[in-house]
Amino acid sequence: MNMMPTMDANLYTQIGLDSGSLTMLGTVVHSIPEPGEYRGVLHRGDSVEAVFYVKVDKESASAQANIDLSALGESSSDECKCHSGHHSGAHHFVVNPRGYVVLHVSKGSGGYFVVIEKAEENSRAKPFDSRSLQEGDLFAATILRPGTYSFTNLSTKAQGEVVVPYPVVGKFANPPPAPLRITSTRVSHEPKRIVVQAGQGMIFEPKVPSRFKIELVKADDGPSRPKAPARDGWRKPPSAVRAPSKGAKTK
Amino acid sequence: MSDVTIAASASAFKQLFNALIDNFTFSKSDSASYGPFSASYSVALHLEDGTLSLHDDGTIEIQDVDIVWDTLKASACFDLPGFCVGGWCIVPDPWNGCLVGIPKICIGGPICIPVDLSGLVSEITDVKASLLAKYYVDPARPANVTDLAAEFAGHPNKWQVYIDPVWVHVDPINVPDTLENIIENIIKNAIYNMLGPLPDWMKDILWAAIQAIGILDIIKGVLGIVGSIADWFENLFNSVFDLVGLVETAVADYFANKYPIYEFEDPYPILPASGGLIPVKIPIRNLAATINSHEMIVTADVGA
Repeated sequence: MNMMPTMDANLYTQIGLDSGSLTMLGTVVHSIPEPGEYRGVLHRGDSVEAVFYVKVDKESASAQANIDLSALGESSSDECKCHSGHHSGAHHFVVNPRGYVVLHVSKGSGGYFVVIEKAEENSRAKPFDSRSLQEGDLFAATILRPGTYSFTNLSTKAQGEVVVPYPVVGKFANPPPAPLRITSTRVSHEPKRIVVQAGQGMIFEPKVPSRFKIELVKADDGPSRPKAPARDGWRKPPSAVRAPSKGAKTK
Repeated sequence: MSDVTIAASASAFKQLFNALIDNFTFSKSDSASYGPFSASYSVALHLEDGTLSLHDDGTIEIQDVDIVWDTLKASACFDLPGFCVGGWCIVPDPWNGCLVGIPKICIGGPICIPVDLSGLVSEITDVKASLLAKYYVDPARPANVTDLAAEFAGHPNKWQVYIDPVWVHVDPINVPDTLENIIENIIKNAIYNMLGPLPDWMKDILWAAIQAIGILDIIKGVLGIVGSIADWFENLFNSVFDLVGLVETAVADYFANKYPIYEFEDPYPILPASGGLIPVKIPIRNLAATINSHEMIVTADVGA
């Protein structure tokens, strides 16, 4: 995993998350219990960005397959599009049936969703669509900007609230505390209201088909700061200020 | 028995030595990558003072020469992981480890710690040397010309006497412990610059996160520093950049090859040109230079 620090502007300009449109601070975790060859399609809005394959193999020691959607989209745009329908040239991942596929975005503006289905034709298995998470899937979200947010399951309309207090030096843990888990049922979230530190994780566990959306309701931008003038502007230098001449009339 | 013997008293030799020291300068700059960080340096120095002692065994000893670092600047650059999100475990394994985790994103960026120790003084502790006579043919001397023509062209051959070091010992650069506090402020400024374009709330989060651990502790973690940061920079100067070795080599090369302590033309003019007559010059052969506790003695033969 690439651990180089980043200062990607999307981290602080994209406020809010959507499990059906993944960005840098959101991750979907999905398990594929049935062995076989699966074909995944990476979407961004209406366009198909990339195709990848996941081999679910009982012999594999891999408990998780990290699929970086931004890297997939980037490499596919570099490749010849004419190969997009072929096995060769596509990206392959392998995972144990008891493991997990981790869909994440390491950089960029994101906005991805993924559909994964069995590669064999005429398969009756229901495809996985990250816009509609099922029981067993997880949506991991992180909020950086302090404030009050609503979180909504767009499928059930159940709502909750998350508060991210403004960080205080000396009372701010680094690394952040362990993530909080939120269970989403047909009628509600449990818990409905949570307080997390900026950067602390939230893991949404759907019990029903779900799409989670987190939106900023009220920003907390911390203590007000005196606004410094953008620039001083022009001022006449002291030496250029002329004293009135002796003959000048004064009122 | 030599045809010519020239002697310089110990005090005269001391004057020659002072000129040797006064004319030494050294400067160098370089940069390289060392895994988790890259570093660059720029140095310039001159020498001052020092004691000289002449020995009857034909050696001279130079001690306690000050190395005045007119420029001693270094910069270490690395990626500061200010704050990391993700990386949590979603499926623990039975041994308190993690089977499946969320990928981590560290929010940080490149920063550089510039350190300026210009003005610092270190020391050449000891140089042991003997004298060495060399014959010098000016590479700019025109080809196939007489010695007289070469002299008129300003490129005569020369006999030169050098101090030929057997060893040169330079003390390691000693970085003051007070550098620790200075570096902390330098790092703060570097981080402020890195965070410049961010919104205030993001800066505050990163600052709160960085200060929760401690700036110096983060830097030590990134750079793998076990002791103090002052010690780390000391090691950077002395071992990684090997400035001590560079200075030792430069001093040895300067003494032995660059700056003759004494030199004269060959053929040696004994009567200058005058009255339309060409100068009278005698060729010098088999020049040798030795030293004892009282004087430097240069002997030579008059050759054909």
